[in-house]
Amino acid sequence: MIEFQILLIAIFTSLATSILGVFLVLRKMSMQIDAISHTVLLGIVLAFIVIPNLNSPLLIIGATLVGILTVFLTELIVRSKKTDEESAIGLVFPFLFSIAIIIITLKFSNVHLDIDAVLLGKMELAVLDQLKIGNLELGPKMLYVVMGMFLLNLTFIKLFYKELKIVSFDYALASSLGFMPVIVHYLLMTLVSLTAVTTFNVVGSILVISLMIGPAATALLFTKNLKFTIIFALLIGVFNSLIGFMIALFIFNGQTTISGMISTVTLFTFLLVMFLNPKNGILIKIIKKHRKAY
Amino acid sequence: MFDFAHHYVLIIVLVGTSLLGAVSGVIGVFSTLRKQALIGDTISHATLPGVVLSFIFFNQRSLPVLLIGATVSSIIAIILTHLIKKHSKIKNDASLAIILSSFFGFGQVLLSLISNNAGVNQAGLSTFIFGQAATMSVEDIYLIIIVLSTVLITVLLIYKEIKLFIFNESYYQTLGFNPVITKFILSTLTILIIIVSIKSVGVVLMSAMLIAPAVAARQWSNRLSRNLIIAALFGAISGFIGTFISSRISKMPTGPVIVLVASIFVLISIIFSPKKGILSKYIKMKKMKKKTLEELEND
Repeated sequence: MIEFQILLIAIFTSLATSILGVFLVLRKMSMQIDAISHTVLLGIVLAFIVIPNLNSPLLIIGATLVGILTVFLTELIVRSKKTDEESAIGLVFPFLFSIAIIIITLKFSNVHLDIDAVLLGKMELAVLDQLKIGNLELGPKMLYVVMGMFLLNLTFIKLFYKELKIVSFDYALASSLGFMPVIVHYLLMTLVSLTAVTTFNVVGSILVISLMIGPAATALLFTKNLKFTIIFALLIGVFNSLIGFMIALFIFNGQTTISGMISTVTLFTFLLVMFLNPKNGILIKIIKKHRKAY
Repeated sequence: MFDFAHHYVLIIVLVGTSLLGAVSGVIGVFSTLRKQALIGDTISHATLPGVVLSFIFFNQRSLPVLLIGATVSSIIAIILTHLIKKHSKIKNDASLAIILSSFFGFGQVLLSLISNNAGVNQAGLSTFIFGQAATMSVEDIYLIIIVLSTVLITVLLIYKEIKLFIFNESYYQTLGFNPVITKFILSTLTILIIIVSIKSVGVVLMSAMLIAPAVAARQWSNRLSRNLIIAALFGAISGFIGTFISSRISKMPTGPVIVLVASIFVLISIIFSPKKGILSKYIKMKKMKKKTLEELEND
């Protein structure tokens, strides 16, 4: 039963992350999630100073705000034309992250604010915290959190589909048509930050990157239509979680980290599709080359 | 507190971090100019499975063995990014993100296989992520010096080639040079410096060591040679000041302080650099405005 709950958490985490990932990949902002998923730690720490309670929702708000700040600072540097976007990301996130680490080691070394837990996440432990009403156990709290996150992201994309589409493909047109791309952009980044924070306990800040970007990039290998890309990204996300979970459970007898396995499978799926893709995969290219030689 | 042993350790760490700062500054200039600033972030994360695998196969903690493992897995990571670039339309940032994260995840899987004793496991991993400058030894310094001289000698030997390759790749190719080889050399140098640095600065902060000094230097000069020298200086000074500050305050972690110092250099450079700085631009604007107004009044 507990295994099934872990699987459900994994699947909904994948759904919640990969649906946003599509727009990050399309807008060439994949590495921004690397930045955000690290800097939200600073938000958690700062909020923790104000309210020293690890279960307080304020931590999530603080983390999301710092996530948005990260995006804002990166764009500020890019717009000042002092350097390119990759460098800007690489300047902003280590800076904010360093502040977080310094505060943690100086102030909270005796408090249980475990950096490793934040960075690595533990899906296996996330399941232990059960939602209880009276004596009734209603399943792990985390499951409700990731389900809610998925529904929130899905609703956002449903509501702003047109805006997101036009902002992703033609930013200039979007602004001239009065779609206010800045607002859509920051709404998207708010959800990305929120998703990164809420899935912290499950996958950690480094593996959330592959969960978010992997399925979308895999789908984009063989689709061009935005709707199909979203649907395929979701399917691939579920597939990766399922396979990763099964390998971890049945081949390694649950002796290994499930989230690590899922992200390993994510890379494999991506490479496999790139190799076998019937349209322009590597295999097809090799076969065509040989046929030409004849 | 001022006993010799204490100072001895501090001096070693100071020398080590300054040298590391200098070399990563130099290498960072190349990667930022090639608009591949985050390749360092990917490489440093991608070393994890290699480190763990070589630990599994050779069952020892000796540094050279682990470093070889790290090198191999980061080379595989770089080859994969090239393959993805060549065979798909996926943009560079997405492929970096997937490889960074999945390699790290695979490393975690391997790590969990070695030991299910979570304590040992996590301690090792957190050293890998954040680095531990305080444990630097004389051997580490030798290793750093070897890498430093390799990087400097290579850069000096093929300086012209690298310069042309970075600024005009197609012309470089028409002259009969092979850009693949140059790319390979630059990647190898990047991998080398990352691998010797990880132990002290850690994975997450490594990218700052590569990017910050280079971006700061870029504000002061348009010449490649000067950029390299300034970046090396900024890197070395950041390493030195960061280590010194963290040694004065108890429990202060070294890597993050170095990153903060390097970031301050960037901020100062962006604001105060005489040619491109925000301040000098502002002053120039003011002067122009005044001049134009005066001219208008005189008319």
